[in-house]
Amino acid sequence: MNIRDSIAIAACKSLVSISKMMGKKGSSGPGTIALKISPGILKRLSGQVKHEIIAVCGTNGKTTTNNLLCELLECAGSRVVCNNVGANMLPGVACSFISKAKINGRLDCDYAAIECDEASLRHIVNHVKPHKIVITNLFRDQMDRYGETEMTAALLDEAIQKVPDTTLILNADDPLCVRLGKGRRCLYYGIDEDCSSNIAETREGRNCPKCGAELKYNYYHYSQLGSFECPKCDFKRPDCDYGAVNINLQNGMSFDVNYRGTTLNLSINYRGFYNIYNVLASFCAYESANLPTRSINEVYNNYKPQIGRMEEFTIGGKTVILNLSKNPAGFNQAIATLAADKRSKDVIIAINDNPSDGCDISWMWDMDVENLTKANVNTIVAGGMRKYDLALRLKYAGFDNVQAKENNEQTLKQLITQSGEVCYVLVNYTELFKTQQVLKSLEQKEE
Amino acid sequence: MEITIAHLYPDVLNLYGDKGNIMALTYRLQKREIESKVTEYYGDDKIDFENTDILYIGGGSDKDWEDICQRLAEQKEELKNYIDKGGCVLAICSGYEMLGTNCEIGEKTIQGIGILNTTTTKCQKITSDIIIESDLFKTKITGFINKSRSTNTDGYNTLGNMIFPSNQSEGLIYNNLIGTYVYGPLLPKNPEIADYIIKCALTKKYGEDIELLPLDDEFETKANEYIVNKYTK
Repeated sequence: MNIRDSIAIAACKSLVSISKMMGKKGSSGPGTIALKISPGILKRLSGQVKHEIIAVCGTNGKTTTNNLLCELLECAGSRVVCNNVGANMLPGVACSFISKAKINGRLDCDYAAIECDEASLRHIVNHVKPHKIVITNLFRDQMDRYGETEMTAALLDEAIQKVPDTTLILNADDPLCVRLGKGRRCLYYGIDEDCSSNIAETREGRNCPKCGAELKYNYYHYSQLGSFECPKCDFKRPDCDYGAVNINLQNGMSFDVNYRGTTLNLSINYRGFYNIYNVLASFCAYESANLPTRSINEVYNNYKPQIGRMEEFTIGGKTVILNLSKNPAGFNQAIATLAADKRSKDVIIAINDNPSDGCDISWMWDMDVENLTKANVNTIVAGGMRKYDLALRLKYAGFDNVQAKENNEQTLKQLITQSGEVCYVLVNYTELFKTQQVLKSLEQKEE
Repeated sequence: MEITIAHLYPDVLNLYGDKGNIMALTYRLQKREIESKVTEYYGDDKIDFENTDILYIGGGSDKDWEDICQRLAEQKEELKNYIDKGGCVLAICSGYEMLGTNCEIGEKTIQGIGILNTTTTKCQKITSDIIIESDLFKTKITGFINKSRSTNTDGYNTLGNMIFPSNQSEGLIYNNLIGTYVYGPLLPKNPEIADYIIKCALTKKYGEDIELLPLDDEFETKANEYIVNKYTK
């Protein structure tokens, strides 16, 4: 028993309970203090994980993928370390291991599924040696406008170089992910068929990450995802180890996964094409550990998405769906989900420009708002601090009856009483918690 | 009447919602029942200056700077001729930088197209909302900037003076060319600039001074005022 570790664990645990009592969720403060008291604690704790440590990163979908993976592992009877509060930098990761540790420094867990921030992974791997690293995708993020996607790829590459024996689980449809797999042991997952009838998004030009020539796409899903091939060099989409086919998005989603010579049908009540990737990534990470797949559909169907991920409320007999999007790729996917839902709908989109949202909102002009004009929208409201910029964007997309209003209880109530069959509330980060509280209280008032 | 907008390299010069500038121009033309046509140029496409009324060069990433600049330099004479004759140009961020004589990128100094006698050097990084006062426009210009270089515009008229986040001149006006680091994008919430460009293009093409009908600019004005009120009240 290491006395420093015990002090660090005690300090971290008590700080977490204190901040909980004060109604805060913080895990970064306690984690930082624990690492100060005992710099080697995370290494020693993570070294005790019996089977595998899986790190999950990527621009979009990492929280969902990681939470799904935890759920799958726990339902298979494993004890799992999981940072499912979204604490994805080094202190948060330390805190999640400590929360599962005993005061004597023992950790009795079979697996760890750890969501990691792309820029932090290179620090995290100094302490935690993952058996597998999942990379979901690399999209142009709010932040990427300042460092650009290539920079994120470089940071991930730096992390990957530090752990040469780790297997990479990569999205085969994303050229930037695939490039990270060069010369490594990799498992690829992806969508093995053309689904263009399900999606209608203008595509971005993408250059070959190996030689710079413009990539050719045989078919294309969204953002830079698709079946790509470089006309000038040998870079192309690899064959999938876990490939989805026969995709049907009516009433939730259904598709077949082909892997290791077998096929498994997954029928899940999720919305959103992008969730196919989250399911595939989690399934690949899970199944490749040779774990049973008997009740896998049940596990997926029982999973409750974290707040604001196509979260459903019932208010006044109407379904209200709340979704958080943090960047253009996220908003485009949310819009594609609305377009795939044939019901008539009333929609509010609320965008703030606080520092954690990103102060630069010019990306809303890259958002595929035009797609929304084909989504059977009854009324549309622009909300949030940047409601006028957004209203302008919607006006230019062809909506001639846009309203700009505060996104508050009154506005939401009004929206819900409109004649649409369903109500969608799309928000960015700092609008989420407030909006979720309002919708929750409106839902509870009814009960 | 018809106005043709040449949109240069939308596949790479698209870093900052550049599409919005094109949309503002076409929207404001259509509302006045003026035909608008957007011609997109890619790769080595030859730009048809004869049939261009407004040329748009947007902002791209540093890694593409040299390549785009070389493409444009191949048509330097045609471009220079177009600008000299009063053709309208809106150039944003890197599109603005590369019109000058040279530009510091990373550790290198790269030669620009050399149509403007401007040089661009590294400066302290500014990432911020921005407000500009301009002699040419009644309404304050608002938007966003993210720059780590600044362009020396000595000898040219500037677009205006920043009143936020610092006090310095911003942008340049030369004939009917406007160059600036301001995006946001620039034109949607600065409709006065959009209309100025449209008017210049119409006047050049049709010879007479054409009055533009006023439009319902409620959202445009309020989006603009949001930035002004946030920092000056």
